[in-house]
Amino acid sequence: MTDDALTIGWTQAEAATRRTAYRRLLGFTLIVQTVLGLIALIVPVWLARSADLPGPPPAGWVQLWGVMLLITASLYLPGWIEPLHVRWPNIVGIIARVVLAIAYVSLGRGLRWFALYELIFAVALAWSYRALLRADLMSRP
Amino acid sequence: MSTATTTAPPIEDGALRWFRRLVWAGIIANVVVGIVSLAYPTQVLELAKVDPATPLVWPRLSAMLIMLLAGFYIPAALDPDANRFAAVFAVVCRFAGTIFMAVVGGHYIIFGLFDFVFGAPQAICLYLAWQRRKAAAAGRSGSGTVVAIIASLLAAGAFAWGAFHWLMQPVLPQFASDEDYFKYGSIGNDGASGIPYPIWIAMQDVCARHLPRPQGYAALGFLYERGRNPAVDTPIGFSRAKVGVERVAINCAVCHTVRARMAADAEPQLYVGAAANTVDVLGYLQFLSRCAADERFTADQLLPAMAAKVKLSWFDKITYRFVLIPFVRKRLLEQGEGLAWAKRRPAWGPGRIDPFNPVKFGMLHLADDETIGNSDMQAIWNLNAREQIRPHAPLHWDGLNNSVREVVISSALGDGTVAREFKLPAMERIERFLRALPPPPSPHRPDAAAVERGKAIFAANCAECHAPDGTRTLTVIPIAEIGTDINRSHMWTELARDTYNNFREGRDWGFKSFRKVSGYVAEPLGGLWLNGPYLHNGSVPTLRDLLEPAAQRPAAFVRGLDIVDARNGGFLAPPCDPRAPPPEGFCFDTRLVGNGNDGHVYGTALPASDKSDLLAYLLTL
Repeated sequence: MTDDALTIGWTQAEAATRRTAYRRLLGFTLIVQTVLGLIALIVPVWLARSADLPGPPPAGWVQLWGVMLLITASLYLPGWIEPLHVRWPNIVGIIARVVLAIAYVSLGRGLRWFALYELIFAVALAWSYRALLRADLMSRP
Repeated sequence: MSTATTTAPPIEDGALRWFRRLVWAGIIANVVVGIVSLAYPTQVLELAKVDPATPLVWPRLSAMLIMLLAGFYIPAALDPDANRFAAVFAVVCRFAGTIFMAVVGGHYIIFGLFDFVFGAPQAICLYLAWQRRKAAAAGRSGSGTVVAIIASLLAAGAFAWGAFHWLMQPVLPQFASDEDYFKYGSIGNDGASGIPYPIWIAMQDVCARHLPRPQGYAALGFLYERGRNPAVDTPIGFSRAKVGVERVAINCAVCHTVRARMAADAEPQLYVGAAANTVDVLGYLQFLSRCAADERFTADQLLPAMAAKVKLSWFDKITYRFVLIPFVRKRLLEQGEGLAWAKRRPAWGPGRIDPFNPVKFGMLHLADDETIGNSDMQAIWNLNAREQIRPHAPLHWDGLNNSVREVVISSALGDGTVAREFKLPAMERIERFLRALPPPPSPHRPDAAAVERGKAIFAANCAECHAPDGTRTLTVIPIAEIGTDINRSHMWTELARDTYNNFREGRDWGFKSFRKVSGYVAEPLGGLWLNGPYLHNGSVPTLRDLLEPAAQRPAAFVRGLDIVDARNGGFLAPPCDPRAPPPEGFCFDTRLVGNGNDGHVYGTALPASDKSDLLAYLLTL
């Protein structure tokens, strides 16, 4: 076994590991987003009360928020399936999380917890995606 | 010699090019609408005709999300071939938005149409492009054009339906005060039975000869608050809502607000919740149908009268001339035919109504059973106090229902409310208002000693049925005992009860409290001074007359005057001759069927001095 062979093998394995880690992280956030979207759609009043959303909001607007979360999650899917070849949703998704976090903070009350969540995962996803891209680049001969 | 061959880049299909353009257009539209909605959420909601959103963070959040969503559409716009998944999802997500908004319904469908207007053509273009690609690869000539044309037609139809639905949804004015809502708010009948406001306001001029006096709608006893101009404003009891065009429709207050003056030259006062002593509902309905049948009910006559009061664009004039005026004329004539049965009964007159026969023959589709339900309009205040006296106290003169909620909703149905416009919160608001509405205290100040003596006489002779703690207060007293005119009680039949309890037109209305009881409810006497004329059919003009035997009560008297009778109780009601209509008001003839003034003989045998004392006490209620 040569150093060269060891290096290429290692970098490819590293890229695969990073890919798996990123997909797990993104998959988790998409599942959370989908569940939250469904809750907002199905039991908007309960969610508004439990999460102390600004309001009292009309149920329809909370449901609309839920639908948009679901739509965003579905548009994100290509990025989850092929994070290296379909980069756009991943990049837009990270930017969107930061923007949403800022929006949630400015909207106030219970949405600030959502802001914290979005910000944490925006940073985590950005770090993980950057690591994946670097690992992929390094794995090329 | 070798020949070098070069592969030309694939020529982009026209449909695919259009798909990309449409996706870009959708992205730009999302961003523009998002930015405008972020900056001016209230104005955007107004423009879309949706309900105001409080707090505004929610429409702002939605605006931000549609801008963020636009970012995800970009791969589909850049290269739909390379990003097939993104292309399909861009279309699917537009349809998801459309479906959600269609389910929400109402004016929110405009947001669904926004997605649809991009989603449908995108879907068709994408289908065409990929079909052609597939056909070319397989060497076939099929291109999917037929499917695309059918889909385009269906999409155009769906868009037109959605746009029509949006346009025809009522736009209801908001009222901060419950009382104003009661007086002028919509009860969900604007689209179904509302008359376009410009036509309605012009009818009182064009058809003035069909009104009892040249006073516009005020001649029918409708009430205008100070500051409202009868020439252009609507009276109490009429809502204005935009359903395609602005329309005028009646609401509960039309029968439940009264005007009273303490003297001919005194300032009139309005009392919400009281029986509308001056309002001639049948006269109004007949005016509408007579006006529609009049040769003057034409665009040539109506349009100038409308334009004198309302600004009409050239488009409005064309629409009114060729569509709305003929349509309204037809509907009013049909409404008149639907009320033909009323011509075979004594006229209701001001302050009276047959509230349930129109429901039986019209809404419940029951056959005309020749019954007469003419009765006095009822005061509807103190509903909570009634339930404190007796839980599930009977409502309406004969106690045909004992659920306040059912009575509010069914009364709205009787006024033309339909399922597609029905809004439960509106009914709940009216119910809350009426439950807490107290009767106005009596302004009469009779001799205090007489009042004290009268109170004792009341306790001995009347309290059992009319005092708040009376053992029979708010119970149904059998006809055989009370002896008053039987017709109103006969009008409500077992068949009507069962049919209304099972009424499911448009939705399950959940009625289960309609019942058949033979008799009339012994009412508590709060606000008695405003409740004249008396008895369920308003056949006895004053309290003093009510303490006389039936034979000595006035056989014919004028109804519909608004001057309070401080000496006798009720309103001034001079005698009249039914053959000679009085200059003001309506000559009520107790000899006509349903108008009988017999019965309720309690107190009629008292000595004159006791009657006088009792009257003094009753005047204070």
